[in-house]
Amino acid sequence: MTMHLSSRAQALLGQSGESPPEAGVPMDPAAIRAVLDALNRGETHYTDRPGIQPLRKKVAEGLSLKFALPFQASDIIITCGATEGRFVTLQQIIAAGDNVAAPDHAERIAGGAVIRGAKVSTDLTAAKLLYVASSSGQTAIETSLSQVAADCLVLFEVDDAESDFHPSQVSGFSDRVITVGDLGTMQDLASARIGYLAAPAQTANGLRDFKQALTICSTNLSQWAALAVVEDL
Amino acid sequence: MSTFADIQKLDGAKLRYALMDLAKEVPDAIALGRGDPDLPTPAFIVEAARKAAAGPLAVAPLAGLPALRDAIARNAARDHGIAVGSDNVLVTTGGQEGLFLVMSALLDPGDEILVPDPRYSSYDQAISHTGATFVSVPTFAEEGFDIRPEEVERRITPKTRALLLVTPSNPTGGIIRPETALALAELAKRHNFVIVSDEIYGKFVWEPYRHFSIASLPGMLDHVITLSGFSKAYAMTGWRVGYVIAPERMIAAMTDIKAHTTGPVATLSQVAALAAAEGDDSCVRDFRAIYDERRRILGSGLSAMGLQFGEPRGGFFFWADSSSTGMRALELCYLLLKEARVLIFPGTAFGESWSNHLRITTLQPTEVLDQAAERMKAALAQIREAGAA
Repeated sequence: MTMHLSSRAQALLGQSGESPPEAGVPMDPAAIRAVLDALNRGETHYTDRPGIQPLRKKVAEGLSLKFALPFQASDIIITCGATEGRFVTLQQIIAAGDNVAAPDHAERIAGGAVIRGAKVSTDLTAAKLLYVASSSGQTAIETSLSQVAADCLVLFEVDDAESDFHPSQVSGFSDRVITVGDLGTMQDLASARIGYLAAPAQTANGLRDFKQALTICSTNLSQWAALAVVEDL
Repeated sequence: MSTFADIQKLDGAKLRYALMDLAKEVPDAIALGRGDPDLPTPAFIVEAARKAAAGPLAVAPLAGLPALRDAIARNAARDHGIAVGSDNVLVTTGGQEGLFLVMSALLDPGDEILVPDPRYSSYDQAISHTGATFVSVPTFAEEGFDIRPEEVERRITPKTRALLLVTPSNPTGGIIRPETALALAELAKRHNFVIVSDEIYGKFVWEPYRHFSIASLPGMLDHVITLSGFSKAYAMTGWRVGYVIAPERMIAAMTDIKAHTTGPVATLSQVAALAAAEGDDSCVRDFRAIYDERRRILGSGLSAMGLQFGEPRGGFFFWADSSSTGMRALELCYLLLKEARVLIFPGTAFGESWSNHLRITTLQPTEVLDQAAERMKAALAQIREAGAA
């Protein structure tokens, strides 16, 4: 018997496009110290579902400072890289058959949309979720925001360390933006698979529940390593 | 603090997490709820991580470090008679992600998956997310919650895509016996469905029983997906390393899905898991002896309270009947948390019809288990006295 594959699995088969292996890099000495200290403390068990409190606080402070917006630690969920943040949002926020608009970087959400049974397009007006990344630039993002429907939520990925523009700064979007980012790529912690998701109160519980159902919590040691080295987001 | 009214609307995993949140507000609460081993990760595994942390670390391949996949395959053959190679192994971010990937790769909207009742309700979201539905298969205390093949067969329809087995079972502590596995394997071949076998507690099966992997039966490698991980066997819950063993094409499909769920598992965690997989497994034998002793102590305590239960055949849990208290399990759990400062989970967290059962873990040191049993006994005596008055 050949084991049956679901339609979504068949659609994604051979599409992961894995990058060639890269040479390893040492973690920042502060991250190494933090990992060793965490091991000495026995930090080898589950953490709280949304992540360790000091890291959530640090991420909230970093986002608040960067974007001049009032992020709280309670808004933050620590994820297994930005990948999990995007995936959890796609699975929890939209329904099968919904449209997701991605004017740029559509490849980052295409697989998650297939798994959800959603459609990715550049049609902004029909979108239930708009994906934008800071590297696309303020003007392009504002143009997209101006075209989406009033009930469209925004998934915003922080992937440009220099940009201080955030869609929540735009009138009408203060409680419609879910923010994701990677704490690894910016800090030589890529192998630790650590990121974050910040969500408005009305969506936070559902996102946290879905993250719990997917991975329970993010890797304990990775969280302590990130806490030691995250400065600017 | 949340009230009883708040939590009684909940069931499944949400109920478990609400009770855990509630317990954080109870000073000196003893947690006998979650399946998180309290024992430390063995020193040789920690040491391997310590050494690796100081050196260069690369992002791991999506399917996992080749050496780890290879070691998992070797151990599956050596320990469980599952003759596979590393291409049959996918390393996942804990067993939970493994289950999500399996369901995503296997189930389409409208499909059905047979699930023993009671069930570990964290599976629910992974199944419902695919648009498939689960069909409950009853299990019975008098058979130690082993599954009856005839109850499975009765529920097979043209939509049946899979049967989910959990052995040893969470929450019941039951196991699938070899003769049951054989009968189920025949059904799977005859009706062309897949058996998903969650064996995360497989290292902890109590005498005189033995763990049995259904994938080890002749001709079953193409019909079985085996799930397991390092969290329970090596007390490594926080490292988040699980794995799936399946036919190569299924592993390839799940790897392609994993690219979009969480990406590769953290490299340092995989290095630690590799040390566990290649190391001396006397640590697991030591753990087994500790958990077995705890099982005896907690069992004595529960008997002294007048709770009815079958001896768990494996795993970390007691599945006790609370009918003798005259109180629904959820209400009882709430009272025990408030009055006895002991967290346990009600049966409704594991299936809608189990309102008179409790799941209680052995994952505390023996002196703490003794203390918990004393507190519960005193509280139950008061409850029974009040009921009789």
